[in-house]
Amino acid sequence: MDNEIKITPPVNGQTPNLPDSTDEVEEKKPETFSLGAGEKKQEGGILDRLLKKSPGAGTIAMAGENASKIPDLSEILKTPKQSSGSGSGPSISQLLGPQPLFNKAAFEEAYKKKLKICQNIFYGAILIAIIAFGFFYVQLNPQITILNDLFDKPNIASDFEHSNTEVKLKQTELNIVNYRLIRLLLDDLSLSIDPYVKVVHEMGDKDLSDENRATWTSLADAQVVQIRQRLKELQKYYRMPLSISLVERKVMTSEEVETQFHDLLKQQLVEQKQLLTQAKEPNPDEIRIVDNLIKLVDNAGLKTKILAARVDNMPHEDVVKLLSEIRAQGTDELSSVQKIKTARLDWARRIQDIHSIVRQADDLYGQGLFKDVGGFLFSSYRFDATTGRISISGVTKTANNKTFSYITKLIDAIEKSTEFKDIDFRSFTKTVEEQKDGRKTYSSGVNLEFAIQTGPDPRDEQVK
Amino acid sequence: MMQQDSIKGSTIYILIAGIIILATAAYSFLQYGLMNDYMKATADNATRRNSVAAVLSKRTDEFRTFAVAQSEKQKSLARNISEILPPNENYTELTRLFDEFFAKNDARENKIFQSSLRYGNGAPAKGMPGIYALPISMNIEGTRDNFFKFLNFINDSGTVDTARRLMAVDSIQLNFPDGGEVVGNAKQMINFTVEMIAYYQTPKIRK
Repeated sequence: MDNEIKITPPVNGQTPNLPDSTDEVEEKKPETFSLGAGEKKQEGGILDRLLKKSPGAGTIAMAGENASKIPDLSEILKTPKQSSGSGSGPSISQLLGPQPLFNKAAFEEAYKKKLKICQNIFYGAILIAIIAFGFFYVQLNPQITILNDLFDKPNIASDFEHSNTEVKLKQTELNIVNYRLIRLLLDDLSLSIDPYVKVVHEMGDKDLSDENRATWTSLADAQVVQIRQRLKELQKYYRMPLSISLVERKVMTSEEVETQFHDLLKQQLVEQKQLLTQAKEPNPDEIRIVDNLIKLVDNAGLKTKILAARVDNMPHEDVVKLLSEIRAQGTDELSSVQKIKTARLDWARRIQDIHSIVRQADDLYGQGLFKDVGGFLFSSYRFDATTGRISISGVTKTANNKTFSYITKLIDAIEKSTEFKDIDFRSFTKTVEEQKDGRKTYSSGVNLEFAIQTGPDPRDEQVK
Repeated sequence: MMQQDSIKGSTIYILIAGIIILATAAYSFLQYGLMNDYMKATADNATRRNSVAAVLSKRTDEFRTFAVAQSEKQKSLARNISEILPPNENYTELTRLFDEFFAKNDARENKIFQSSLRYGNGAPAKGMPGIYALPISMNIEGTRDNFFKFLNFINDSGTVDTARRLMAVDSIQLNFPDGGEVVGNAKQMINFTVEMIAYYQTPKIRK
């Protein structure tokens, strides 16, 4: 009521002047808001419109009063007590209740306050987001070292990476020791192979007496026990996994994890070798050991061979074959030696094979009876391991004219054998000589060249 | 109008703030979970490291024990390897080896005589990384019996028990000067020229 603003009704069509406020009202010519006052341009407010008849017209016609008289609205708006009139019914103010009052400036200020609060909330949210993001970024990014620089303490991610690395290094050390053990076991096995092979070879000699054979057999049995034990120990260490279960940043399959540890192991050994090589006085034995370890780590074939070996109840000959295969798979010096020895040709045996085959055509070959009975006489041999070919040169002598057929018999025997193949002799010449007793002898030069057969040859069966 | 603007402005701020807070909450929740996992894994790694260290200690002791037991064998093996595959050409030692063989097997009734010996230049052996080949050529005159002894001498080379330099015959040319081959005569003289290879390890010092 203190802020009540009195509105005078329009007089003679003039816009009503907004009355000055009373002393209690703070604003003196406020731009007030009244009902419908949003339309400032409109003449008067709702009340005015309610009360308005026409511009310049009167207002509310009151019963019993002169219609031309414009009633004082303030009188109408006064409370019954304030009203100068008496006993004329409820006033509009009574009907409408207290007039809502709107203060534009106050509203604006309230709006600004509210907006400010919302802005602060917004900025606060951004700040919280920055803090949260910053905190987790600093803690969970191993590349960030600010905490380490400032507080001498790594962040959580670095701590985690560091602990992972420590475990990996420890496991790699263990893997190196395991492979050193494997290397020692393989070397021990290597030392056992040659004597064992020799014993088994002696044991297999067809001309051996039963007593001697029994002796060699018991020797072989004793040696194979140690070989079996070594193989089982090798299998035990080879079965140990290189990797250890760890939490990693990215998901990896078990094969990838195993590969990772394999690469770590190799890397450590390579670094060791570099250090040994760059030392002031490099020790060739130590370098050789580490070099052999590196080759062993890379040798997946040897590992597979050893893990697949089942030597229990295996015959000695099969054990020898297995050991030769294991040695051939290796990458140390003895393995290289084994490969060279396997590729080496046994020329003594080849010469004996030639003699056996020539005897199929000439059963008296090599007895020194050529001058008397003829046959074949070879004066030179040439063996070439590079090409795998053999040449034999000599003469043949027959008592009849079928010298060439005699030569073809030898050619067929060589081709038919499983030891040689690819014989090629296409030019035949012969001479005839008449002896004093009238007998004729036919001679022909023989230069045969053929190859060493290493596998099955279909011509072995075709030539009859 | 002002009222509508005011509603719009504050609403937008509140909306965006709400989205930011929700996103921050979600992000923080996920990252906190990850952080927890890292911390737990770090703690577990300490246990794992200790466990591996214990196994490593035990395995190292096993290795040392076995290595000591094998030390003599290892020395013998290293020695044998250096004989079988010496670290360089070492043709002087090879010459002495041949001389010893021929001297040992030359007898009045069973002759063998090395008339010439020639060495080529060493080169990497094909298909054998870390191994070099020294070509050798020699002319020999000897009995059939000694000829086969010589072939066995080469064939037995490279074994751990003989510890003889690894060699292989590349080619042999045999000639029987007394007419032709008589297989049954062990004393028949043969002239033979042998081309062979003696192997050695890749030299550490290049010439």
